Amino acid sequence: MRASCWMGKQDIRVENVPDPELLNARDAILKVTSTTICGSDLHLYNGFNPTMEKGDVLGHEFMGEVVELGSGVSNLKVGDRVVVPFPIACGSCAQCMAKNFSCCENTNPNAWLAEKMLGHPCCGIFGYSHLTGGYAGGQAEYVRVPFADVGPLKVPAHLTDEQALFLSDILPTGYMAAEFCDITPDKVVAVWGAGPVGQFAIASAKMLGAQRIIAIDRFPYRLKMAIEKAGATDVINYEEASVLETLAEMTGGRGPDACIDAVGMEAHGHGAQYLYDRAKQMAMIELDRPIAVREAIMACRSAGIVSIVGVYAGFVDKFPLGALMNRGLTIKAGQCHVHRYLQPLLERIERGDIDPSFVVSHHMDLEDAAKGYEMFNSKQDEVMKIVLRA
Amino acid sequence: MIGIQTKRKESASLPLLATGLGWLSIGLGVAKIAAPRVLSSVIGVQDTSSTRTLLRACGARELAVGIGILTGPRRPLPLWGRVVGDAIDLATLGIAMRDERNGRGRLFGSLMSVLGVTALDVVAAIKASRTQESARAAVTRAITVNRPPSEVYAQWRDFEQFPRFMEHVESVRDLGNGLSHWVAKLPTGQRAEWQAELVGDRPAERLAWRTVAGAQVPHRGSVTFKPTLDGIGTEICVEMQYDVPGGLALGALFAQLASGAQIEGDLRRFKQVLETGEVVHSDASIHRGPHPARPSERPLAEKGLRL
Repeated sequence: MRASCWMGKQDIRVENVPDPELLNARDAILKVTSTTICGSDLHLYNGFNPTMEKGDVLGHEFMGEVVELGSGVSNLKVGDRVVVPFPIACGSCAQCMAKNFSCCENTNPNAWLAEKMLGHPCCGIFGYSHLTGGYAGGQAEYVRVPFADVGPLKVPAHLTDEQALFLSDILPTGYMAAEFCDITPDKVVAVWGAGPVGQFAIASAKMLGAQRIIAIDRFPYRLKMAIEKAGATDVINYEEASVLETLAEMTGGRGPDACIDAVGMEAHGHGAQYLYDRAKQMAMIELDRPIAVREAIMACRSAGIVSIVGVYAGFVDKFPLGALMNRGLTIKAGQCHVHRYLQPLLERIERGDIDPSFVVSHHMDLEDAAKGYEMFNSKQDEVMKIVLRA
Repeated sequence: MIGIQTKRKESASLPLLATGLGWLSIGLGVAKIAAPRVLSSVIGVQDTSSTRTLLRACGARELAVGIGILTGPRRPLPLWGRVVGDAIDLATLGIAMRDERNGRGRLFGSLMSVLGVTALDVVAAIKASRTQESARAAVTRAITVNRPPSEVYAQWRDFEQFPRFMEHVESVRDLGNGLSHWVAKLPTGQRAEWQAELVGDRPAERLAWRTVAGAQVPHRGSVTFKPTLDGIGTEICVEMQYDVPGGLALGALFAQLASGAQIEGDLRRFKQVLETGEVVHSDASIHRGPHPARPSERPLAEKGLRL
């Protein structure tokens, strides 16, 4: 089959690789119909994850048709059209029972490695380095889905791929970010990053009843979408204005009640601090550039909530722990527990509360994956979300 | 969770003797480096620039050995280092005796002193080596499984199933009466076989076993099963002790680290078997060593290799 492979820093090639086979009784093989490039794939693309191997098949956002089932899967049948959560969860460990699916204790065969880097292991993730298990991803014609009796959600025939595809990651991720914020109508929510996850965090905050939502980014087209499609009430372009000062003005000096970091480890910024972080990251002295999360903490109202869904890998410098402690902030964070949100969000899509396809800006063939990565990374042509057809 | 245990049958005099020899090394080392001229006249050799260089080099050696002894007076290696140093010193003094320009009377005295100290060094080194012969590595690892102790115990008691989740164990045969026959592939690639006997069996609480006489790597182990506070799961705690042949502390440490990682991985797979029904595979994990996360040509054969 054809598959998008990581061959090194900024080197993606679509190659011939063997078709996947069932390895466990609860596996399914899908014929992928649609897949996408995620903002977090760009961290791999840019070489910021030290546990990649040359030849890894990428992709953790995908959907498709069941073509083969292991003997242990009874809730699906060949021909079912399903969307698959990016975290692989067993459904039976204590964390899965507590619905903390991305903390699954059984699906990361490289638990020893993850434990060294993170203290305790995280779950397995499709196509997302060896720290998360070394699973082949779904930017391919076929993909093996472990625990197919736990993760995949059947997609009703009347929904298009574009409407259902983002249930795999970015819609639930944005929704969880907003849910962390304990939103009531009187709360002001600020969202760092108006990429696809940021857009869905904004849309979710609106669905949960927030009346004032502030989007922060540097690309005017993304801020425009935040207002016109996602439901932001205000925007700040951080290349034109000071974020902290503008937020203070917008909130009577209090700061937002909740701040969402939908940016992660490759944040942009300006000034000496930004250059310092970039240099340290390049030298691998600090794995992440925590510019957005630093700013979110400094901006947040005292006793407010900082919600982190942007991806971080390791350790950061100059983390404002003093602000966090002395002003009584709460941090909520996590890889999304996608399984929790699949059914409720599917219902919202069916009811028309949200049509996630608004983020799609480009369609491409899987064969053009390399071009897609380059375009997404350099934000060419007002790119928002690229859907690849396998 | 890891600690090295050493069975001690040492004589009470060893630490005192070793510490004394350690300070002697430090004293001689400082003297040789700081005052080579004075020392050469005491020993009875001519004070030349090459003598001074030689004395300073010997001084550096004395300091290194002395520090080694004082930081671990029970370790045999630094004490054998002293013995080797003594041999070098004796040889050097012997060569110096041939040169008529040196004071032979003093040299003879030096030779006798070094011989005396050598005897003490040999005694201390042998004592320390004997003490280390029964070095033993102990490893403890724990994991929580979301199943009740009775079920976890029953799975563990089914020894013949061990190869499902123990990476290096090829087969276990239950011989009855608490005896079992094990075949394992060592990390070095060799195959080892041994027999083990149960020495403790409290259903849903604890199992203990040990190798019977004649095993290449004698070891003993125990596993305890404790209900979690919520009453749903089981906290498993495994303790393994290996009597490392050869008696080298370094070997014991190595075996301990290797087996610690091994036990950790085996426990994770045991948990997977109990909680999910089988060992969970990724595209990379079915291969030995690094492999890209992509399907392979013969995945089931690879899997067969691994398990």
